[in-house]
Amino acid sequence: MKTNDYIKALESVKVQKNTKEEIWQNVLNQEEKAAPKNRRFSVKRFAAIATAAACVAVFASPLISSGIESLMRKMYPQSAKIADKIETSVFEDNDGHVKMTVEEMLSDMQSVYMIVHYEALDETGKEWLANRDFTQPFISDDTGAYFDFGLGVRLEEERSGTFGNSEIEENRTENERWFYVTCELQHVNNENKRGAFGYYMTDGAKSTWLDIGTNVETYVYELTSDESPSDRFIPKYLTVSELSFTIFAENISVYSLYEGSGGWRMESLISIEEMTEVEESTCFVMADGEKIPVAINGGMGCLEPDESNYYCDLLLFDGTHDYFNEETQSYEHRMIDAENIVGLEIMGVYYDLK
Amino acid sequence: MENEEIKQLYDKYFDTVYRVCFLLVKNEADAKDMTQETFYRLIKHSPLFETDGKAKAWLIVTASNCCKTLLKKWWYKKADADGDFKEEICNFSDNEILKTVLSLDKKYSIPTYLYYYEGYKTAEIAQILNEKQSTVQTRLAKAREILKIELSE
Repeated sequence: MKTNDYIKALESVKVQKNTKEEIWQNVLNQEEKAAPKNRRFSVKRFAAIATAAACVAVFASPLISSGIESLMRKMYPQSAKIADKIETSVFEDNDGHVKMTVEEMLSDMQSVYMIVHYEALDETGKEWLANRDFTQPFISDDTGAYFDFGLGVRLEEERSGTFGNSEIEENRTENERWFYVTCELQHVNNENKRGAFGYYMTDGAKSTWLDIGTNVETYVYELTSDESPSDRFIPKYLTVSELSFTIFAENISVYSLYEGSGGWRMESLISIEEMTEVEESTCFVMADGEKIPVAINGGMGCLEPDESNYYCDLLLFDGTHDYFNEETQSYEHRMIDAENIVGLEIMGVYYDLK
Repeated sequence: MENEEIKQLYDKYFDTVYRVCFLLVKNEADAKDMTQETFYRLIKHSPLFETDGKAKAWLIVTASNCCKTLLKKWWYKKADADGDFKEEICNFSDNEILKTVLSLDKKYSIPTYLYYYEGYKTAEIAQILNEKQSTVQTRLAKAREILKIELSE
């Protein structure tokens, strides 16, 4: 085979012009369906949160062990409610040119928040740090996980989710850079309670396993009721912590699987309107009677039933408790007092959790 | 990044992304889906690129990652890969060379594509794929051996 033969063979791999246009329309439709209140974190959203946090008065707080004021509490003010759960000096790597430290971490395995600190140790490190792009995607051989936006945490088996990092610019110096890393991962109940943390050093991209499951407790409730909120699904379990929640269900007609060209495929049977109706009618009921609408970042996904998802085949909804602030037009971190949730309501059907 | 800028990147790099996806998933339907997913992620994340070259590199890596995730999904693995994929490759039955190219393992197919078709140097490929340059060179050598490509650099 000559090189030109190879090139000609690849040139035959293409689509028709109308197919290309069709795919573009699908991309736009897919983007439109992810309405602002349901949108997962993006780099732009991080910027909005960072700006808002910078305007908030820093809490007078105990200094963490290294003597550095807690940046976690600055970037995520409500984390002050569970300040005693913020893990410090989580992990460090040093290649002689730069030192990378995960200074703080808050995690329930579904949401992971970290403060990552880079410090140059010599001129090589200083130059590297000045020019390094921390959002470049990479796949690491250390754990096999991929990081499509640089710094972040992935679970085993690369369960889907989103993450990103936002540089804390006001702390940047010639020798130091600081990042606020946030990750929203799909449902987890991983026995190993670990995630792959991806980061850069001067000799390349690396990753390591971190224990991310023992920080913030997650409560698990079985959902039982004489009624069902929909003839398309049956809610089965709720997992909830101060940071996030997941509702597992049994699929009846939210999706179907069929065998097609190239393998098994999933077909969604529920319309966006129906999904929105369910979303907007789902709320936590607190001990004092207050109803808090759940903040859904992702929903209605197909699951392979196993022990980690209570043998459910439908991910109904999951997400952090963040909410979209109409006034600031940005997503804001919020915590919910998980211990005082007494019920879950979906489409008017009440599930008693106590 | 505005949708117009993204559309420009879409028009410019669609073929590259599609080919990367096709080389990995080896069928048209999934290649289209993964191409769509790649550009959806571009809109969703709206990264800022210093140059078009960096945008292209980001798209190549993201496309690879999307495809690798799909290949790991449990319902995808349920398929009898031999039966379904052989049928797809047979659709190119009049293109023996393409059939051979598609039979390459993914760790060889992408570096080979980037080198021979896109014209990247091994150092550039190493940076895009976050591999050592020596790894890329070894894989290219292996791919040449499998495809019996006569050197014409």
